[in-house]
Amino acid sequence: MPNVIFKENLHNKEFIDKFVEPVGFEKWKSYVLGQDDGIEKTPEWAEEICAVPAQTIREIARLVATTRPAWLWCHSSLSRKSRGEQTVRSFSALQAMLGYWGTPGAGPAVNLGPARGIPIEANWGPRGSYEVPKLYRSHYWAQAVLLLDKVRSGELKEEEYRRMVGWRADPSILKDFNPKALLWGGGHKPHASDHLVTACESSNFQVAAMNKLEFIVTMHSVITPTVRYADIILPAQDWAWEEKGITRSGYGGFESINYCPGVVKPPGEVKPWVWVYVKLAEKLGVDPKKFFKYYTSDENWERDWERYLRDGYQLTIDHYKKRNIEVPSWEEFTAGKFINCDEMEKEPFTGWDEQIKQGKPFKTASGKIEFSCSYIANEENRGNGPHFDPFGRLYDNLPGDWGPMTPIPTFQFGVRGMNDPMVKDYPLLMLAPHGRYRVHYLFFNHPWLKDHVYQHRVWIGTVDAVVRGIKDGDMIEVFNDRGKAIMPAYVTSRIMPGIVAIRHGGWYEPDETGADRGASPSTLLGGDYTSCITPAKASNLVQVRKIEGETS
Amino acid sequence: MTQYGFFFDQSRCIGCNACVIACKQWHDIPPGPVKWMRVYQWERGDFPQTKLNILAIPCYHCENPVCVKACPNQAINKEEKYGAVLVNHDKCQGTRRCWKACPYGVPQYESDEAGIKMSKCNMCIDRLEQGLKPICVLSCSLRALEFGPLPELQSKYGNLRRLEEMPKDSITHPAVVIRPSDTKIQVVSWDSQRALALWQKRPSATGELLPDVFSTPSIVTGTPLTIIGRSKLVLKAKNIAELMYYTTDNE
Ligand code: SF4
Repeated sequence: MPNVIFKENLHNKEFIDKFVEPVGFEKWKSYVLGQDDGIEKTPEWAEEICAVPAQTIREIARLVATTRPAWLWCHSSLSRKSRGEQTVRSFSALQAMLGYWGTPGAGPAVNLGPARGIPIEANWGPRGSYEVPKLYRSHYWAQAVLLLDKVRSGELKEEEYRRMVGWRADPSILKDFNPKALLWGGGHKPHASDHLVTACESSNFQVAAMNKLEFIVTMHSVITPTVRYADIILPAQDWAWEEKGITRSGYGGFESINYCPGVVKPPGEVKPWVWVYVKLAEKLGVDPKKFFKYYTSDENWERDWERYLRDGYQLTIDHYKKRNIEVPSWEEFTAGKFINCDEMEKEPFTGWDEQIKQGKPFKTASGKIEFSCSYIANEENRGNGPHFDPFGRLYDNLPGDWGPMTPIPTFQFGVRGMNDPMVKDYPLLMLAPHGRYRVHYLFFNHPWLKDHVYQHRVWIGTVDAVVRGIKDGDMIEVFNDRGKAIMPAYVTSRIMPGIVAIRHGGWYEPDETGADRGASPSTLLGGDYTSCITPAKASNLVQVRKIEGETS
Repeated sequence: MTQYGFFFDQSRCIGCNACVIACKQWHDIPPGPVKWMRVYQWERGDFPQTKLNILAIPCYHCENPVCVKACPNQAINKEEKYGAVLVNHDKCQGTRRCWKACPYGVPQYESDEAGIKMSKCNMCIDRLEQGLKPICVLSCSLRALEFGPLPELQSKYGNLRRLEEMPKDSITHPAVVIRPSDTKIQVVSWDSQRALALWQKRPSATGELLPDVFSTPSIVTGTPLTIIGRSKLVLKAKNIAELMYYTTDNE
């Protein structure tokens, strides 16, 4: 598309002059036009790779370049494939060359940075002086544990190991790295705190890594597939139903601030997650009032907690007051009035307002939109520097090593994609999109949803089903070198040949043969260690076969 | 009596089942086969020219309710104020004559056992009496459902009472107006034959020759319908297993 747009002179020169850093822009332009590597990135070049006919690509390019505003939207899902970062970056570049940044519906994904930044949480108290060493990418924790023996025996080079697990600390720490215990979970939003076997790559490898540890503690409100492997489960309140709290939903746009009143009385010894940390602090010899400054005593917990929430909401009120906008009082808010943030604004939220509309510089080295990332261009940063988001906040969960990512967005074939030689063994590409009946793994066990209004099945196209003798409803095994999952087939014309899809968030249920009967796509994911920016990938190569004698 | 009825906008419905769950929750019906509101999906056409059809269907509270006449126990009546078709649980003997008569598969049963009493959508008459809309209408975030006096809906949305695949409406006169989904408008050209030829090949990342995705393009387009899940609309399921099959989504 950029090739067509450049050649037909449809790019927005005014926007580019004003907001785009020129040297990187020229580099990218010469890549697109094939001036640097001799390969022009024409629709004919692209159609061979993506199977969209060149004529269609050409017409779409013209359509989005001449329809203003065009709804041009790329979220993070495309980054969840090997080298998917390149796809998402290219898209942002496309949006910039057309001058669509800051246009409703057409700018870069707003969840990744330009949120409204409305405060809802009060300060807990000053941070302690201890800095936790950030050793490896948390998503690669299992890899970090499992590959350690190979490093010690010399089978795997230290440098290689560090790259594979996104190691970012001083390499000399590696010799002392000796993981024995795991404390996992405990964030108050449990959709994010049960990554291990239901959302991280390769469930079987996650379990193998857990088995290498001597002691595992988790905190959760539900006995999830991960929690089952713990020695101790700290029973936390469910944040949506049991806990009192303020939540801010939103991905930049569609934002709202709500109060959760704790509609269900928590059973037994179930506690709020912050209370658990307060007690842990006490047991570790830290003054709990220093850890959470609102804490006075166990008896007063309810009141302490309310003071904390109220202070947080005051920040929200103040935030809006500064702009002369009135929001519900604390009493109204806790009685059910919520803030629909979009309705508070005169203009739709587009992100990058400060830069595009008020002329402030972008938080890049040049202060402009950089088509060529100066940070990545400097090899000295590899494995070293901290990462910051557009607000200057430290993003600790990003690796220090960006693998084969190029300073300008380029096309690279993904590892374990449709074109990987592995297709000889595993000819189908499995995708793991989010299902609409759950949030990650949450509600997979909900009796009103699964098997009631939907079934958890693997989508397989008609031609791939025919050649394997599969018809709708047959039990089939989906397998690769990471594991195997068993589930019924949904045979449909609604999916491309060569592609199968299993919705993300199934609960890992290994049977005695090790086959995952809960059919979590995570069981089949993983194995690409070169694409280090994207955390857990959501696609992989698989093979499928019918299981004789079993039906759904 | 003013006949009240539903409007269903197929071009808006995404088959999310929120109306089904809301209905169950309001009427206190446990998960399982009793679905006063049902959502069907059925696909048409061959890859790559496919179309997914969706229908969210409660009871249509017909102007001529054939179920009322079919019941030997006078257990079903057409109520006077809104024209709601209601079942009297005490009178129902579970003879299933209404099920045979209703072309839409509206009567619902907890199991396949003989003699089980019937239950059905009651237009949320309890809510109407409080000036509220039926809960399915209220729960639809896509605003694919509306409710009101049938003449009003007709003047707003026309008088189409059925989708192509649905039974004839000439006898029952269902109290519903339907807007079918839009026909596709080709904004940019797309040569499906060319696309199929491109889909067949795998461009190699390494220069090594890789096996094709499929042997010939013709085998992709000509697959038998019998292997496909839900390729037709089946409003009257033979039994509970079939009902659950046709009213579950695979998202
Ligand atoms: S809630 Fe609305 S969109 Fe969802 S299935 Fe029902 S009618 Fe369709």
